[in-house]
Amino acid sequence: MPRPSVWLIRLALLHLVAAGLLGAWLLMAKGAVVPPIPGGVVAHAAMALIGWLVQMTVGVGYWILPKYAAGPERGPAWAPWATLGLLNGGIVLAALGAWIPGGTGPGLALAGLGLVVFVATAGPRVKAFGADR
Amino acid sequence: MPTISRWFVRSALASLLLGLGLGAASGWWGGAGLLAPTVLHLLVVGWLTQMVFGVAFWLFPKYSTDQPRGPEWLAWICWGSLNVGVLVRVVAEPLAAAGRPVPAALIVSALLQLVAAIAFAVNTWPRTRAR
Repeated sequence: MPRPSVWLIRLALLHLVAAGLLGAWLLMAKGAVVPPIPGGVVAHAAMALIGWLVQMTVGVGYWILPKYAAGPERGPAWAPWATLGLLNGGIVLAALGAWIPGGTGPGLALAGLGLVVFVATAGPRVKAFGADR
Repeated sequence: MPTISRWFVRSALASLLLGLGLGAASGWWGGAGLLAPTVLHLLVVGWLTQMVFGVAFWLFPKYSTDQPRGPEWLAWICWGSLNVGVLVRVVAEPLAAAGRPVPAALIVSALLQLVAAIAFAVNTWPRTRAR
């Protein structure tokens, strides 16, 4: 497994647990077992959907998609790290946006930019085996 | 495909059908607002996340020669707690939305889903490594 995938997947696992913790709290708050967290749903959604699901998909995709026949076999070396930084920075900003006004939109935009980098650099790897040999 | 992965994938497919069916039915009889979070979690947790769990348990790098997919009991705890947690949620969350919460059920559902997430993370972390 390439090193960027290791980091992307491990961060996805951390987001899974964090989203699970917050989600458990939010669910119990529906029964007044614990006090509600205003804006918690935004942070929960950001961590669960982008931090866990999207990031896991990106991490596995970077690892498993067919390799390029020429040049760096998984594309430019900077690309997955840029995706990791933009994705996770965006998630943090979006999650904090529930409490810091104006953070959610820019956070989602940052995460979106990370995905653009991934699609642009890994998209061409969606090909038949041996297609570019 | 190992047995545990087959159960994860089958349960994921069942959650997909249940989630879509419940969503369609609630839209038809006007209860969409009441059931929206439940349908959402059936699809995101029961379907998507569980499918990821099942395939990851199957395909990720081996944990060890003796236990290629990690401790099997941990995987079964993950599967059981996720599915029981989601099923309890299907009953408890709409009741809470309708103003008739059953706190014990919400606690059980919440903690079981959390246990599933932790179990998967603990099992998968050491299998996520550079070769």
